[in-house]
Parts: sequence; C-alpha cells; structure tokens
Amino acid sequence: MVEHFAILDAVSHGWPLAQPGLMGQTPTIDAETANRLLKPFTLKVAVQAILAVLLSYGLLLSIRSLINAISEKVPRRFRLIIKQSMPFLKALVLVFTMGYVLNLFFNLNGPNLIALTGTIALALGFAFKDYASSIVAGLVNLVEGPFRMGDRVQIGEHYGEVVDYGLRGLMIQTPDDNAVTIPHSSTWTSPISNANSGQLEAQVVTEFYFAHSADIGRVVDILYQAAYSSRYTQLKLPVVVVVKEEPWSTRLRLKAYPMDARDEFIYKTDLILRIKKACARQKISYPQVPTLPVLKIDS
Amino acid sequence: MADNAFTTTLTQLRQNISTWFSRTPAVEMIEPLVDVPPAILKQFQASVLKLSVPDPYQQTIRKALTEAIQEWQMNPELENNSLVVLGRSVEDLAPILKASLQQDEPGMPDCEVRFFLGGYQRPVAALEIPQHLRRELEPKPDAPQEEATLSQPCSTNAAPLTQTDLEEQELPVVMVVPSLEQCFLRCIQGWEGIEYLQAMATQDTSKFWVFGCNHWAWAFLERVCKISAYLERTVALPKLSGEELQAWLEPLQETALEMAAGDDESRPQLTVEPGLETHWASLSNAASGIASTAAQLWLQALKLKAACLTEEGVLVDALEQVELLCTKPAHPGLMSLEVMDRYVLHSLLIHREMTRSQLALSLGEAERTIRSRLQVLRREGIIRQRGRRFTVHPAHYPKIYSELSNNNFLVGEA
Repeated sequence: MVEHFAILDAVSHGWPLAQPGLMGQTPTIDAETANRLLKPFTLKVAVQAILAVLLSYGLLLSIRSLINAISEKVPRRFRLIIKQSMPFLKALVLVFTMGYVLNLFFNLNGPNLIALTGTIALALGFAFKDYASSIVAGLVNLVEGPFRMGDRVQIGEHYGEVVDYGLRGLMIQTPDDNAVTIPHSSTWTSPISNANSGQLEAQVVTEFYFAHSADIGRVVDILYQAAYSSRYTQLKLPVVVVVKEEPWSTRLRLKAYPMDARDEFIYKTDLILRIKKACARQKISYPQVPTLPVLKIDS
Repeated sequence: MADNAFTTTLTQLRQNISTWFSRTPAVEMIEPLVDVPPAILKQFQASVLKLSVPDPYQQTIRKALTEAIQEWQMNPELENNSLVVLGRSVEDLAPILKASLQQDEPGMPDCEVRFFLGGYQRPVAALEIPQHLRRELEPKPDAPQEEATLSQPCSTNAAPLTQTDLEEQELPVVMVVPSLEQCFLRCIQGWEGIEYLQAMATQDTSKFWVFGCNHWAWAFLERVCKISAYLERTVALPKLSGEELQAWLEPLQETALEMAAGDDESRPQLTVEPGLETHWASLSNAASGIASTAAQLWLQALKLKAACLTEEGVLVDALEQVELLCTKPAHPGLMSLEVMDRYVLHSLLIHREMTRSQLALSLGEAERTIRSRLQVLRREGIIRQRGRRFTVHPAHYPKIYSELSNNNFLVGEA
C-alpha cells in the first residue's frame, strides 16, 4: 500500500522513478508521503469514525422506513415522487459519510486525493471487482434512470415493483409478495422492461378467446364497456381492443390502464369476471376443443 | 436585625405571590362557544330545503337558454338543438331547472316547456333504463296525432323542420330532462339510456332539449360515449360570491325569529348575528361557490355562547334573547379514507344518488362487501341516506374532491 502511495506521489510530482540515485532514497520518500497523506491515528478518531458509520447506517434505515411510510400515507399522486427521492437521499448520506470518515484518516488536499483515488481504484479493481461494478452500475442507473423507485420492472426472469434501491443492488417485490434482490451489475447486460416509467399507470393487457361463430362486433363492444365501467380504470387514458384470428378461435386483447399500476392483477380479475358475466348474458360462445374421431384399431 | 430583614423579605414574597394569583385579568376572557342544539339545527336544515334557487343560477340558465333557442331558431338545421346545464354532484338540478324555466319569470324566452322524468329514479335493474326512457319520452299510442308527430324522434321519416315550419309553429317546444345521471349506471350496457337520449335529441330537431347533468357524470360520459359531440352546448352553474350567498341565505336569519315566535312566549327570542363581508367571502371560498355546500358550512359555523345553554343542552329560559354567532366557516374533518371508500364516493359523485344494489353492481362487488363501508361513511356524516338512496354530504364535497383528485380519479369541476 505504502509503495503505491510512493509511486503515485512520485509520478504526480514528475520524479524519474528509474533514476538509480533516487531509488536509494525511496524509504525516505515513503515515510514523508505517508506522513503527508495520513493523519495521526488516535482513539478519538477511531470512535468518531465508528460513530459516523453507525449514524449513517441509522440514517439510511430511517430514510428507508420514513420514505416508505410517508409515501404509503400520502395520496397516490405523490407516492412515486416521494419514493423516487429515496436513492438520492441515500446516496447523499453515503457520500457525506465517506467524505467525513476519509477526512478523519487522510489529509485530503489535491495531490493526496489523486493518490488516494488511484489507490482505492486499484484495490477495488482487484479485490472487489463485482462489488465495484455494482456500485458503478447503481450510480449510472441513478443518472440514466431506466427505472425508478415504485416502477414495475422485468429484469431477467423477475417481475415486480422496485421497493428498495441500495448501494449494491435493487430490491423488487414480485406479485407473489417475494422480495428479490438484483445486483445493479446485472442491469449492464440484462434487458430491463419498465411497465410504468415513473407514472402511476401501467398498461394491462387482458386476452380473451371466442369461437369463430361469435358476434365479434358485440364482443368488442362488451370489452370496451367493461374497461370503461371498471372502477379501477384510468379513464383519462385510452382503451383499445385488438382482434386477431387464430386457427381455432378469435383472440381479443383488451388494452387499458388501471389508475394505479399496483392494481394490475385485481384489475384483470375484475375485467374477466364482468366480461364473462356479460358474455353469458348475451350467450356468446367460447371456442370448443375439437373432438377427434376415435379410431378403432382392430388387433 | 437580620431576623427582621428575613421576615420582611418573606412577607413581601408571600404578598407578591398572592398578588399574582389574585390578579384580575387585564383582558376580558373570551366566552367559550358551543354548538347549536340539534333541535334548532334541524329546523334550520328544513328551512334550507325551502330556500329558493339562487338568483345567479336562474339568470345564468335563462340567459343561456334564450341565446341557444335564438341561434337554433335562426338555423335549425345546423345549430345544435340542445343545452346541457352542468352543476356539481351535491346539487339537485331538478328543482333548479324547474325554478329557472318557469314561463312567467322575466328573461325567459317564449316557449312551451315540458318537463320529463321529474323525480325519475334509476330502476333497480339498470339495464331496463332504455325501456323506461322510451316509455316516458315516446308518444303513447292513444296520444293525439300532432303530439305524436312532434315527439317521434327516432323515426327516420321525420324530416327536420325548416325555418318556414318553425315560423308557422306558435311556440318552440322545450323538452327538459333534469337529471342525466339518473339515466345511466356505470356498468356493462349501463349507458344505453344516454345513447338513446342523445340519438333522440339529435334526430328530432323540431324540439329544443334541455338536460341537467353534474360535472362528474359529464366527464365520465364524455370519455365513454363522446357525449359532447351530440350535446355540444353546455352552461355551468356559476360559483356564488360572498354577497350572492349572503342574499341567498338571508331568509334563514328570519327563520330564527319565526322559530322563537312560533313556540311558547317563555322561550327566548332567537336571532342570527349578521356576518361581516369577510365572513361571507370566506364562506364562498370554503364552499367553492356551491350553494348547497355553503348552506351546510354556514349552519355548521353557527355557534352559541356556552352560557346560553343549560347542562341538558337546551336554551336557558330566563334569557330574553339569544344570538347565534357566525364563526369562521371551515370544512368538517374528513376521516382517513380506505381504498373502497374512495371507489364508493367516486361512484356516488358520478351518479349523485344510488341505492346499495346499484353501487354494488357499478363497483362489481357483492352488496355485503360494500355494506360495512357504507355504514362507516354514513356514521361519519360523509354520506347521507334518504330512504334507500345514498348521496354525498355537501359539506364534505370540497375535501372529497381534492382527495379523489389527488388519488388519480377522473373528477368533474370543483
């Protein structure tokens, strides 16, 4: 470690490392560099550092629970805005804590900072490659914003709502109420599908299949009316029905938005229940599984 | 010597302390105020129902109708033959339209006004609405031929009247349907009645149609059946200013006197403190200019000096005169609403009034599921029940409006 500092310090001052006369003086330079870089280590400093780390940990926990509690209490309109502030607040706490703790142990002036950054980068590069990659990916995601807190995303095989955004990874809550932690680094390579992109609404597609003989015009009408009359539907957004012919049935896809993306599955259930009831009233037929002739094989 | 000094100091200290505790307050203490006894409030509530329709409402409707009829008469084939009067979900438009369209009122255009569906209430089976409307609006088989011709809108043979035809007619006929929200229910096939009405109004251009509708229902119908494409001319009831509210609520001050005079002589005379200009402006602001909300907030802002009431909560008989004081109008507190409460309130505000079974059908829930929430909302005073029908209490409307708006619901005008 000391050698690294010495080398970096020498480079930053433009000293020729290969000069034979200077090689003999290296220990003297190392000691000076170390003295210049490090602050005296005392018990008080250690206690201060520990307190700072504990305080920041407490703050991070408080931010998480406070923001979650407030965002669930306020009207829906403000829920995502409040949730989205969580990663930034956490990042702010982490940056301040790191700055404070480093300042306790190191003299953070210009040249020292360069030396220190290089050293930390090297150390991280070798020892915590994946961890560093996740942190960097987390920071990049924070800036680029492919998803935010409260969004409903699909990353790899996992789908759910982003409920936490940490230093190393994000946590999503699946529809089955499982919490899945995904490292930020996996977002470098995995495609991210975002259903609502910071909005409260996310499109819900509900599929229906009817017999070719069914009055499809009437069915389309029922589907539109079902969407408009559902209590979950966001009426400010469009409702669309797409029809497609399949060999064994006519497929209809009802595309509509619930007022809250969280209602996705209960919304689908509501639509299906009411559409089935209306279709039963109108005697609209569903596709039948074709019955194949039974072949008798004489032995 | 030292003992004397000590005793003197102690005495002074004791005197000072006793002076502090026995000191008479420099400012007269504000007398505590209490709520008006329910019996008196009930009489006021009854008087509110008897209040005439506010003048600005009537004038706005008459003016809009006069202009609309004139333009339609000038060009009956191109101009829209309808006018929709938009109100808030806590206002009953039927009496407002009835009072505004009285033919003997000044400013009313010359026309023959026919009221339909007065007091019409949505049937239990909402899918029967179109049949109900047909029965009410279409000519009876035994009706005179002339009447039948005039009111046969859906007949494709009925050609629109020309200018000459209109001139030949003595008076234009104005058909009034006071409550569009009673003609539909938010469920599959629930707004076929509206489609029937809009087809009727657009096809029969020989008559002029006036519809009453609340802003929430209008916003909903606009999304689901593009109603403004058919009934394009609308007029919204104005927001009442402080002065207008003062003028409208003035008869309630006389009510207090009548209440006192009507009973035995031993009872004290009741008067209402005339509010300052700022009080009425504040009332208008709190009520968003809505007459029904303002009346309720005004009643809730009336207070009595605590000394005027006995321990049993009745007026002290020994007093000759009791003055009801107008405190600053404020919205009543709204409990923390559950998710289902919001859906119930949204549905009620769209339909203005509904039965429990209609609510259940509209929300796609079983009646037993919503029964408990209705009970809680009623107990909290957020909704009212008249017979089997539920409506939103006007005093809570401004807060419910912002609550639903902030929760991403489609809302009408405040």
